[in-house]
Amino acid sequence: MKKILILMTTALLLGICTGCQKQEKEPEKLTVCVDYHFCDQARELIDVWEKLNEGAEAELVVIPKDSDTAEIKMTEIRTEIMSGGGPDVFILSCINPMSAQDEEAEAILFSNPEKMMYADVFLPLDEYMKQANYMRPENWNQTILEAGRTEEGQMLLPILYHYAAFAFHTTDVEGNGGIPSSWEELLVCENPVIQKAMSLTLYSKFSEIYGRLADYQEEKLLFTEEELLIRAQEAAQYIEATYESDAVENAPDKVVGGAALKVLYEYLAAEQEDYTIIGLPNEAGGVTANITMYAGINHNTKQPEMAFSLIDVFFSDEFMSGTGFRDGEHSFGQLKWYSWFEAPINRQAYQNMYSGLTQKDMDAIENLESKINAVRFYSNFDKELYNMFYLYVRTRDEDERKEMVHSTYNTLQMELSE
Amino acid sequence: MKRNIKKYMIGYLLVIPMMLGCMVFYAAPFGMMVVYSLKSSVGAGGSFVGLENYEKMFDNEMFCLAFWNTFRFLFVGLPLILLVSYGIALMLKKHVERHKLLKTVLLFPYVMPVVGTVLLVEQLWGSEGILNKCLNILGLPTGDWLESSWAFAIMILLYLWKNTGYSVILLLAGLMTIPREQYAVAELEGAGSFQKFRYITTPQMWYSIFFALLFSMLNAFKCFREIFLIGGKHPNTDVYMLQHFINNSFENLNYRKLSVASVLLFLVVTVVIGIIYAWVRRKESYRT
Repeated sequence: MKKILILMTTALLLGICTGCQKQEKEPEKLTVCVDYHFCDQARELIDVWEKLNEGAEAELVVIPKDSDTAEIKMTEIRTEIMSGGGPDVFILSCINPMSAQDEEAEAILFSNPEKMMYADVFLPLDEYMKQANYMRPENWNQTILEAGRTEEGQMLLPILYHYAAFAFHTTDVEGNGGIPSSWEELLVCENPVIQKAMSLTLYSKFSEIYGRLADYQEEKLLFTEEELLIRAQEAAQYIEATYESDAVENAPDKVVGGAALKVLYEYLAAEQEDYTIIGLPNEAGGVTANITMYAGINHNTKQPEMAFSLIDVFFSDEFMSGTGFRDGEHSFGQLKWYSWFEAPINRQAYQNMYSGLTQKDMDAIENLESKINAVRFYSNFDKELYNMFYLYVRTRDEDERKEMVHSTYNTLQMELSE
Repeated sequence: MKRNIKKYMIGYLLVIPMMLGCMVFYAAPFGMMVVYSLKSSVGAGGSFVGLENYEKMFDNEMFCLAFWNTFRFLFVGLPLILLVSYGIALMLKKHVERHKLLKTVLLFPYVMPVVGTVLLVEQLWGSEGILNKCLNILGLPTGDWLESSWAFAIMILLYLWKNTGYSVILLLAGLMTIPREQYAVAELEGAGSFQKFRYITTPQMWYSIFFALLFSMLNAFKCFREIFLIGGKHPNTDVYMLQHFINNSFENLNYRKLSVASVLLFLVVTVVIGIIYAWVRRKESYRT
């Protein structure tokens, strides 16, 4: 018996001693969590950052495209974060509401980034931003930037954003009751050109009738179930009415716009005719913009300065606009990485990307963007509203419609409270 | 005396690995969770906020809904499963020794893979399911039963179907331990069936009923898998359970809600089990 006891005690002590041995400290690599479709660009970014910061090293944690493997990876990352670890930097896309039936929608680590800002997941960046070497936040769109801020500070940095915008020939939209600047005005606007453009967009942008959807601090939705039902009815009736109208059917198409902002900008850069840009008006009399990509630093990171330096490089004018950094004769980090749909927060990037944009074009864009009165991160809320409205317009039964709204409202409340 | 100490030492030595496992993997994380539930955040910057997180949680409508639904599920499901399984166990008592396969058959629903169970439910009560087809033939209104308030009743039914067999086995084991002589004497004394049940069977079954209740409660919590697979992360409000809330809070990395909900769940379950156990102990005290 004594022998067994001695043997067990020795084994226990040996185990403890081996565990406590001081390991040689290797310089820790920065871990950067990205989506699969930003993987190549992130590698490029890391190369640039490593060149600018001698000795620094980073590795990527990529969330796979396939929903099953993505779920495993995301659970792993969430567990790491919950236990005080996880990747140092996040450069992630928001959910795309329209890819609701696609597996892409499943491969999203933070389905509601705005809600995450209140969950102690991200590190406030204000102090680091003051000491930044490359980024110049004063040159960014401040309305968009503000969306990443809570009472505790700047938690997330928006990278790309999107809003529904259309360019019309001015002659097509002049008269006929003027240009609608709010949802209520749009409902009574009888201009067939505008009606045609807006009704098509409403299918996919129903949630943009609203400004902010929720108060995440108080965990309250900013609209009631009755209001949601009314908005859905209004939007559906608007679409149905425009489909039945001959005037709308025969009206000229909008020039360009809607989903692909890049197309709009390129059009503006090339077109010489007189045009008017209009956004999809929301109920508060402005335009709702949605952030589609953002960056943040993990609250648990052990190397916040290092993590911020990578974000600093990413948000630099050189990287954002694709002009690259100079290294003597050569340039590096020249990367055109925007999709067709979004605009970068960095205003400098606009002008560098679309060299054909005149001052008049820039003014027109500025004018439209000044109407942005609500900025959200695309979230599962938009996805729920998109899914609901998609079915709503295809259903004729009023009871079924009410049930859809009721069920969606409940789901939104659940998502908000969890 | 020395031999006694040695005997106990071996016992403790054998128990130590399991206790260590319990401490490391259950007790310690649970202790951390209790601490998290009293802090403003998990990181080093988190300050002690007392019961503020608990207060907020009771203001959270969805937590209250989830708590109520879970309580309702247990309140309806547990008595039902005990009644049904006790009834079946009493009926089967005489036959169980003659038909050895009976116990195995009773466990079939319990061991059925979750996916199979979910498919069965969809086939029966889904929008394209057998019930709707029958109602259609009869010209009666159909519905999406799994997305309506009927979902709660369907889940109770599923729970009963899946777990009754297991409870029957537990109760049968208890029934088989009651000596036959006691019944024989009672019959000689002129006792009827109900009197035998009341004065011989039931007083000796409290521990078995307690264990059946305990396992039925555990199985009720396991039923969440099926509810989750049928209704998803956000099912109909009638079957939105505490596990939905906890699971989704984990996905949202909300430490505070996750820890507060887990601690409250633990407290309620412990108190309820404690009360029932104390009651059973009192009932069974005459035996010791």
